[in-house]
Amino acid sequence: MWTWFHKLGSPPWMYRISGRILAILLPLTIAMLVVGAVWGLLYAPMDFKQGNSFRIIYFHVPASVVALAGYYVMAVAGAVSLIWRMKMAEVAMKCAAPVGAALTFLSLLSGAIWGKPTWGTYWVWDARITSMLILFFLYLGVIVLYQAYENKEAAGKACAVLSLVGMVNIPIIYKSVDWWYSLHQPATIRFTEESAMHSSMLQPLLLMILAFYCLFTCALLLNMRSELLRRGASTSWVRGLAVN
Amino acid sequence: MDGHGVYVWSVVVVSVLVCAGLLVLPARSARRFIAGLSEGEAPAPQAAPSVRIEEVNNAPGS
Repeated sequence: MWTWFHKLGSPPWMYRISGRILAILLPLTIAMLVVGAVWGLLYAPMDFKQGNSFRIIYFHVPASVVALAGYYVMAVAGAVSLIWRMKMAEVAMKCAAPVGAALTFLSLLSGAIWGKPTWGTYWVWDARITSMLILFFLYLGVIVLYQAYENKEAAGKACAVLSLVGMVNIPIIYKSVDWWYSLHQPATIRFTEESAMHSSMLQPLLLMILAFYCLFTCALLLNMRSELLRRGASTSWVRGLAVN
Repeated sequence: MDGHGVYVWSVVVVSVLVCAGLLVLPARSARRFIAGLSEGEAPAPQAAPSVRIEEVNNAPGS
């Protein structure tokens, strides 16, 4: 277990193992995204209240769920980099930020587009939507803060602290629909009681959520590989890759 | 899509673009970097040195 943990800190090992993981995970992710999207868009039954606009759920919910999960990944990586000074955790934190920002952007945009036929407006300053917007700014904050520092060690520490402080926003996002009066509907998928959706609609949604988790993993690993190459530009293992 | 097609398909297009961008951009960046190294381009410096040269020169025993 500890040997594996120590190996995680080695850039050449991480580069090699991530390549092997991606060779399997990337085609699987693309297949799941295609199957889930076709299933949800063409074969799932229409919602009796919202009509076909409900099909936006197959992109909006997975993007939102994984945008939140991505923040956990970024914050945990930040905590590991602060506590154990593990460079690979700092790389993971830095690389998770743009992926999370892109998914949060997709969540906000798809939500806004869904809002027009459902609520009659693209945007309301609702608790759930506003807290998601704050999440987007937190991701952007980490990206910008890292670029702002010339000393990358100090940049890593500042970003780790920012991502940990931003964790306060996560339970607010989850509970916003319960704590405040909101236009946004409550959670569709529940683990403690029966889901609000029929299984014929729920199954493609669960597949899309799984696909988006895999997409996040693939994007994170691809970003990390690119970052490891840049950081190790003068090392023999990167030079070796160029020769091969 | 009963008049909702424009909303649904615009979300599909944006989602495809975002997902493709997340996978293609870092992969292309890594490939370009390796290609640059193969062609003998000098790697760009990653970070400014955390200790200035004057500080090293002024250090005791230097």
